Amino acid sequence: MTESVLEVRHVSSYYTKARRLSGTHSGFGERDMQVLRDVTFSIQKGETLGLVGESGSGKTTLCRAVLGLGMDYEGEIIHHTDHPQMVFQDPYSSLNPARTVGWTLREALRAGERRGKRASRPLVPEILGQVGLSEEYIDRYPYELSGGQRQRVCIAAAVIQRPQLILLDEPVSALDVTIQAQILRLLVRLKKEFGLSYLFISHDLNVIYQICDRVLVMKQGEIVESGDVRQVYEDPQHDYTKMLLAAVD
Amino acid sequence: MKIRKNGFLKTGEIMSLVLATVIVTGFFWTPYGTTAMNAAEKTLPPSLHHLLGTDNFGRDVFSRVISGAGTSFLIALGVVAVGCIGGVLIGSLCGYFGGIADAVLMRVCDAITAFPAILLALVVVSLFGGGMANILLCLGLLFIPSFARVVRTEVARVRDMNYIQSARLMGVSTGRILLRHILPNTFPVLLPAVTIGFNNAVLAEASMSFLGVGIQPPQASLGSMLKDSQTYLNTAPWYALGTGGMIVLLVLAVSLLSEGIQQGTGRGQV
Repeated sequence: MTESVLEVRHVSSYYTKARRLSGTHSGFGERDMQVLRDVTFSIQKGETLGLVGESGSGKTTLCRAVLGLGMDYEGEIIHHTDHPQMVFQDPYSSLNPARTVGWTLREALRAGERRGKRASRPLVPEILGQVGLSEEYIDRYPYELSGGQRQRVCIAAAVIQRPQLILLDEPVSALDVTIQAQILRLLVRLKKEFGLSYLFISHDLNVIYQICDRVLVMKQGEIVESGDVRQVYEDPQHDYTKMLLAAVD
Repeated sequence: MKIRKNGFLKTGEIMSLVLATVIVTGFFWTPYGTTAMNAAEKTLPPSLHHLLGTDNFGRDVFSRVISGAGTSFLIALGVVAVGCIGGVLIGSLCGYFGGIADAVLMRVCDAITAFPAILLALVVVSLFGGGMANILLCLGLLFIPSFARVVRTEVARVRDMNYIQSARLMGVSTGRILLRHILPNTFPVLLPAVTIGFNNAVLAEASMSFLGVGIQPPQASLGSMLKDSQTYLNTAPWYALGTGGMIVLLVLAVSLLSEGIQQGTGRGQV
């Protein structure tokens, strides 16, 4: 019996009318819109759980709810680990443009230390090595890096606090295919090395197939199919899954 | 932050450096005493002895221009410091937290901006008296909205960026996120705002002193000297030209710096 790192039980979420006097969160007119419908799943230790669905299906909303990034929701989200981290889709807005790679990583270490995670954590040059970047990148600014290099730095920043769970929101979608493969290999290696669990979000079933153990298929905020990735891939039950698969071939 | 070198920046740097050297030297030493009158040398034209001639009291205009520039420089520096610190404080809190306090404070800023700063400053100074400290504080407070606005806009933009979300997930405290993660990203707009603010402060002080509510004699400021000089435009035009020229140089140097910074950070081309 494996233990779970995250349990999500009957989570629903709505976009409501903007109540703020000013700010950037805008609503969708008068009517509330449901973005998550009774979502239930769990992630086991050491597992890569895929979450697939077209844009607007609520994948990112689910992520934000899980991480507590300002999403209101109904239902229960139970974390069995401390401080999950996240890697975002767009590597261009994921690194502080005013700061060097080294500064960003040291800041992550420092914040981790404040949480009392002092024991046996890697140093900045070592973690850069882990993600396949040499020490000379320490003094580089994000604008000096390519998309793939930036994503490597983001991954380094995510693992440097030694979390047990990392949410990956379309981590390779913004990269070209050869870089995609490199990043996926890196993620698999880091998972083994650090004993990580991933929630891997993608709209690309091929990518999901390559990296995930199990997969959830999401449509309009609802999980319509779930199961072993091979099984879902070879014998899809739901029409929507079949449609997604047909779109791949 | 990295600023690419460019012609504006280089010229601005050199001009500012020369001016700053002259002004700082002027605090300790000027060729002649700034208030030393000499009845035998009234309204002399520029010569090797008096680079910018002398005024109606036989005072060396060059010495007075340097010392006046020093006064203007100090006031402008102080005004920008007060405005910038206040503006960054208000702007970053408003931009980050939003809400009602943000809405109210920004409307107050709008209201202050709606009046010409000099008009308000004139009212305040005529109520509470002139003098360097009063002018500095009064102009400084009036300059806060212009800084608050640019900082607020940038902070509100950066606040929702992925890298700030990441910092939150890593457990970085809100204060540190504001100061160390968000604020450095406002520098590309804050620096030009500081330089433009500096120029506006130089001009505001000069205007006030010109109108007679600023720096009082015998202390020299560029504005008060300009006021004195207009009486002698016919007999001693070098007095007005020297003083006005110094204002132009000061403003031009900092404008060039500002333009250079904007171009160097890629925000110049709009």
